[in-house]
Amino acid sequence: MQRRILHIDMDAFFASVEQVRDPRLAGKPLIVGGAPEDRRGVVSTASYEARKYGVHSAMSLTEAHRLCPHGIFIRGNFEFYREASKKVHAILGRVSPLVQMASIDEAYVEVSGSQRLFGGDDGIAAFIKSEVFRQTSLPCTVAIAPNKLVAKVGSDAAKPDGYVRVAEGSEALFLAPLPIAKLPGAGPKTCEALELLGVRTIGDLAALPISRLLAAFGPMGYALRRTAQGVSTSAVETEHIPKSIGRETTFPKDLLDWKHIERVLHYLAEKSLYALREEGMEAQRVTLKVRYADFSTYTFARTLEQPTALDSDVFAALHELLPRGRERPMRVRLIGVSLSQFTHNQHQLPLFCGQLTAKWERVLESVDRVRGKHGFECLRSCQSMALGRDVKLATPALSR
Amino acid sequence: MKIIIPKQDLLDAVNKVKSVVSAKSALPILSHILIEAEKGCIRLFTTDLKVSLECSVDCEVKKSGSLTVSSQRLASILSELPDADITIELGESNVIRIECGKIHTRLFSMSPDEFPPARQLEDVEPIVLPQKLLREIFDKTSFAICTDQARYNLTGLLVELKNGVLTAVATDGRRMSLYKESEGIIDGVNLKVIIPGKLIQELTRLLGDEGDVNVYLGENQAAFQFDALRLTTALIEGSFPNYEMVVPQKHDKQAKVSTAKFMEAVRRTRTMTNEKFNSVRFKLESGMAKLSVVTPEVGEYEEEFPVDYKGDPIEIAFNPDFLLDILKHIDTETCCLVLKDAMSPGIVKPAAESGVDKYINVVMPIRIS
Repeated sequence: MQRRILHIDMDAFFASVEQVRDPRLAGKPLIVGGAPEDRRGVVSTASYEARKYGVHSAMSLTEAHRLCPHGIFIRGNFEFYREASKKVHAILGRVSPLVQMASIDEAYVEVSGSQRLFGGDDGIAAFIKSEVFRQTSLPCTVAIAPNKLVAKVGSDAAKPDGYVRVAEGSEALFLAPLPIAKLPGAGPKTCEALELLGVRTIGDLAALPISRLLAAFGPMGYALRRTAQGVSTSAVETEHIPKSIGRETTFPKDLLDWKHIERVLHYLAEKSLYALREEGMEAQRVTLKVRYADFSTYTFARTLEQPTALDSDVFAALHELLPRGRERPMRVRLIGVSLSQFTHNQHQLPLFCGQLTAKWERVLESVDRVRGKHGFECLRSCQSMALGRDVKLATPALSR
Repeated sequence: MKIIIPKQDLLDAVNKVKSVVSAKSALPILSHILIEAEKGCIRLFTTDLKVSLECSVDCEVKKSGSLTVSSQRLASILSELPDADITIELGESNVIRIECGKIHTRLFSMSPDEFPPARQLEDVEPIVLPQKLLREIFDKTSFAICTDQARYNLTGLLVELKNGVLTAVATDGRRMSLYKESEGIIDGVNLKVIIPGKLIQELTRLLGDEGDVNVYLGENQAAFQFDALRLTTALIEGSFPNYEMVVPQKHDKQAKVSTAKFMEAVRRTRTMTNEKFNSVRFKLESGMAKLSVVTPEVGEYEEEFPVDYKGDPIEIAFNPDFLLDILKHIDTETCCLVLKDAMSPGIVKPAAESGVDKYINVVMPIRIS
């Protein structure tokens, strides 16, 4: 059986979701990442109309506003994106049980065994594209290739609303004309070094004698050449464990009011913990991140004795870390929390006083069920409730 | 002070007492040994302020007195000296001379007055116990002592004397080891103390097979005297959790299994776990037990072995390190597992013929979904 891997990438995902929710935004230059007054955040996603003006992800909002002054700037809402992502995930699950959600808006699917059922690559792609559009009205790009590497490059090249099929044996041929910057793993530094060797396209790299690559990159040279030839054996990982889950936000104005900062931190921690529990995980490490007015960024971390998914445990850890963040007598620009060192199904039960933990677990289970129905904002701790019912953060951390 | 002593005698004594000395103490004198010479005998003292060790050795005392010397330095000098008599003498300004034939050493030292005064135990009657028994009790329980200083009250071994029964209990909040002994325990003394884990560790190392130990248990300190040694410690003040409450009484699923086979299987299973995913699933069915591990990004493992079990099937998960710690200390051929369900504590104990359990271990499971 030939190995066939599908890569699906949602086109301008956050912006497209917003355009579906509010049809007045359709066809307009839309920038998700922050409202016009939040000049300090970064662009999460720009619609294709906005990209024409040179706006792209990770660009500062100020810069985006300069390039596209008539653009529509919105903060975005992660809940809607996650909702849409779940729908897409479910559709992919109908094609094959082997689905790896690489992020909220892209996934790999092992479709080797689904060929007959859907009538080959073309049938699979057509089913997914039409079903995604029918259920979410969102456009996506699909690529099917003999491996993950070529599928990923393929969908990137076929955007937006595209489909590409790379047959077995023609991987190198497909990659050859593409610019070297499109090669996964080739960052700006590598590209610069490759250009000095006269490499412009992926094909140039594949044709380069290995001796020259080894001289320039050391053992990394082998990997570069393999990638350029479209060779990859990495499998679709269905059981992916994220490394960390966190939330952070940049304040509209630099702050010294630690009471307020603390409330925001509580809110961010609650959001992270909700996401953590949704994944069915427990975390053992809590990291507090503080960026000060001078852009210096500090992280303070604490490893807990036991992995936890309880709000109270993480709040306690953050309260131990906060005084260290306060030590620098400077205004705060950004605050964030991150949970890491995950385990699941590894909760060691205690001999003594287990009832209290068990009680909190039951409470949070109910809280999460209500949130699942009515949204995260509806049930929160007193600390974060002090921010008001609908929290509007300048730059919500939209990615995991 | 001046003494003449066979090198090996002194080295043995130094090796017995030096373990309590910490190299990096805030108080430099705590890295030293205090040696007192008097009437044909020297006494060596070390302390970390909580635990103190004392050892006496007979030798020729030319001039009585006392001195202190860096324990590490003394141990390394002694271990390199030839096997012969050595002379140790305290000179002017705390300079110590160590001579052995044609070898002359001069060591700078600190004044004996700086050494913390020895702990005076209030007047209590000693309890006399065989060394072997005490070592066995400590050995079988101390591995469960908590090492996390944040849970200070659990960092020691609970020793309780009540109605002629001595009970030793250690727990780290996730597992608990309990040993009860009534043989040779005099009735009439009732007390309950928590002895620091560090002292238990020292005792397990120093206690032998022969002879008795005099155990002095006071209000807030304890001493153990045997052979030429005396160990004293401050007791842990704080309350020990109610251990009797967590010993399950109504568990109905009991399996008997070969201790060696079970231990080998757990050892093998453990090779597939890692730091983050350290649990072993244990499934009991009629006549058969199955151990299995699934570790993300590592792999899976499964093993079956026969057990003497007739109840309903049950599946439970444990930290394999906890199981191994226990199985290593069970010296009967068969051991007994008593369970209820996946969320309740399990009991691992030697299969006792008499039906009376002297030694039991309670382990909390890892929750599985």
